[in-house]
Amino acid sequence: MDIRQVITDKILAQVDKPGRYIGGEWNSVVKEKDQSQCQIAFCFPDVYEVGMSHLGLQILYGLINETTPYAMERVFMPWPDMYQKMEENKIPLYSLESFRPLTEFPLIGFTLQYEMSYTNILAMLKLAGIPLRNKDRENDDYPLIIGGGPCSVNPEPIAPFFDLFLIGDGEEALKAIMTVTANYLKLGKITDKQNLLKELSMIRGVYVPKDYKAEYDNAGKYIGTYNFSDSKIKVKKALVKNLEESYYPTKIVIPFVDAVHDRMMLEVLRGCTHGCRFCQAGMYYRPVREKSVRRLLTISESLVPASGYDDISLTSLSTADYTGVEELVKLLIQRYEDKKISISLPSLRVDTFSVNLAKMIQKVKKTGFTFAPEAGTQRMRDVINKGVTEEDLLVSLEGAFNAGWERVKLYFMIGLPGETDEDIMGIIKLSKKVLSLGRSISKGRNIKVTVSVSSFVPKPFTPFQWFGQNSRDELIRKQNILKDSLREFGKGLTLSYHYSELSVLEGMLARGDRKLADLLEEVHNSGCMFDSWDEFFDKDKWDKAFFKLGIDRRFYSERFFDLEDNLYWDHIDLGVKKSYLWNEYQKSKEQNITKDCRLGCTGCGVCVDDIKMDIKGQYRG
Amino acid sequence: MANYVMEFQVLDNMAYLSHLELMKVFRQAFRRSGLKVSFSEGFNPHMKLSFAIAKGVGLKSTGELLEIEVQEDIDINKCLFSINNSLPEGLKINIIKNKGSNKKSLSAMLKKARYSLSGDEDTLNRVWHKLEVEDIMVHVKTKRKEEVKNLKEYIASVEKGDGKILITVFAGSEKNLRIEYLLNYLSENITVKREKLLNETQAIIDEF
Ligand code: SF4
Repeated sequence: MDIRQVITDKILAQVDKPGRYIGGEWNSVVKEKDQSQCQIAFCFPDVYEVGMSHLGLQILYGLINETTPYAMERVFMPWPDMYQKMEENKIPLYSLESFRPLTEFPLIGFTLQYEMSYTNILAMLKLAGIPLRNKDRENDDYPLIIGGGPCSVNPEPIAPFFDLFLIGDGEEALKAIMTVTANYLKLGKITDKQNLLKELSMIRGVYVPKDYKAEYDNAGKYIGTYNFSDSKIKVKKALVKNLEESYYPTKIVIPFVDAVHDRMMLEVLRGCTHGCRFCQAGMYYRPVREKSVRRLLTISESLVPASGYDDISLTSLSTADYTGVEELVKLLIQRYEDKKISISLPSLRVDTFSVNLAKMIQKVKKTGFTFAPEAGTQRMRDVINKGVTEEDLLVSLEGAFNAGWERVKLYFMIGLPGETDEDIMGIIKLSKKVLSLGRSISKGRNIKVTVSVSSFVPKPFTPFQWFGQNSRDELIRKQNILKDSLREFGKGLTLSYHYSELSVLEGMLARGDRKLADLLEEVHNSGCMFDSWDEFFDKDKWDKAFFKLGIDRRFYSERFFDLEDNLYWDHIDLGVKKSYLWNEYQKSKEQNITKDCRLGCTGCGVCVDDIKMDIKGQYRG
Repeated sequence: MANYVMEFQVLDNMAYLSHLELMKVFRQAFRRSGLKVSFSEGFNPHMKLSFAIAKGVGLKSTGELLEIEVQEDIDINKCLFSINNSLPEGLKINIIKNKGSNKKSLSAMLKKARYSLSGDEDTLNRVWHKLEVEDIMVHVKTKRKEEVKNLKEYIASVEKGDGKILITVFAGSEKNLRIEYLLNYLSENITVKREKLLNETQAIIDEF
């Protein structure tokens, strides 16, 4: 079947946003199969607009297609209307570059960005006609299924579906995986899969789950996950030691359909040193590695003309920490002002410096200002090690209101360890103060404060990995406290919060074990997909699956672990020491804060041998 | 400052882009080509670029029109080359013309649009007969209202071409036929393409 033909003639006219499915975007790269020595389909288990916003995809895509003899093509989860049409017409999931079915690729890589996308992974495998479980793919006919990205730090709930995981930075490790695989290909197909896997498992960052067994004692208590040949083997995360010299894409693929982040992204640094105790990304991407201003300017010089975008976003977990941020912003404005290219900073700290930075670049007052105090009381902010005081926040906001901003968004979390109702009320009090402050400064302008409250989900490799998540009812109760008291002072404040049902499932999967794979397969079989989209999430189907398999979600989500307990992800090694995390957890209970490690190493254990924090300038602190 | 008109083609899968997506592609392509398009003033500057008419999703065309204002006069041939080198496959500028002193916007000039319908001989014969009838009454539903329309009133001329039928319909702000209505009525397996955008008498591009 000529997939392109069928799609064009029969299907595109009948689906929403057909531009998602046509490929051919500017800078997309089509290599004929015989022109490359190894091929990988990069699968993003969410809709095109979300996937095309992902920097990791652009980095790996450029890296493989530009600098290696291998090829990478893109695949996204079709929106349900398209998914159904493809099933009806028996069109297998295909890549946007060559319109080849996934089964023709020796390697398939899924990026694991959030737990609630797991059912989409299964739906994509199904549409591709690939058996879900690695044990059913042992012969050479099927591609190797690889997972990577933040959720790979505890891949156990999806381990039976994958042949290998790549944990840590993908750049160098993926190239190594493709080089090894190329040697095992004959006529584009893998030969001797078992030996290939053996060889791949030697690459740093690679975890081959079938080589590990999860063991439980007779009472069903988890003992550990061990490598068959050597029980002490741990999987170490892969890491780009020199980000400055590492490849960065300039010929990025420009989506036709508006992506969620549809702009140039300049990655100014990787990692974060604040050490917020709830933050998994902060631990996963340690240590901090910056790029120099010079390198970033060189990148932008090629990026701008090759893309045609009119907005450069300085991205990282915490761009205001970048030691060169002021200089970089100034120089970029200088260079690109008359080209009408704007500069934006997606993540800002709560401080006056950030407000001044924003003033420099944000000519558009219409876009709101975003702050993340994360918790409503000082006590709680000390618990989570968010080094921000109420005064910091109010001073920054004063600056923002004075500079003319009218819309402010505040991010908070509920369900944090040791939280009391007073802390919940603290969110209200603080938001109220912000609103009054805005009103007193603005004199008649219409101030809007949006309070966005998410439910805390404990994540592996954070100090709170031992903490049991609040129950759904408790989260709802806390949301109701917020709702009731917000109602009292009417307009000007809007509240948004997460669907607690989803937060609990996320909590279960984040700290789950391999047994949850059965659950995922069950809900997949009942048709679940796009679970992170409220309009598609089907609670009934999940409830039925729990009942059928006798699995208790609360056993996972609400579980408190002890120091002696083996954690389901103990065989993975991110470099951050478990003892460090435990110590942080204990300190949190005493509201004892840990300083930013740019101001002095706090001993997390990541920096060893030639792995070092890499800062290019003077840190403001 | 100078104004230019460009006639362009939308072929293959590019036909499936929405009007806004298509505008975005052109804005980006102009930037990539180095063309110095003028911007509006204000906090949120916009490229001075407009299309004669939006094109329905899925419709192919060889004769769409857009106009731009640029900061300085351009070398038309060089520009044609560099813009076409900055457009994805399936999009192509046919011709660029200086708008000169003509101040009228393309959308104001637009009165008609010519489409070609192609298919096998039998189909085209059936289409021809279906178009010959006195009245073509159809029920149309828009977001705002439902009504019965006589499509014949919107058809300016129909002629047989080489293996296709050429049909010219009214288009623009005063009287406009959405070609989808006609295709629904015909409900035949034919390929439609927009060939040209016209004013009262001729192709708009030939005005310049
Ligand atoms: S080892 Fe020290 S400097 Fe390196 S990331 Fe950990 S705390 Fe920071």
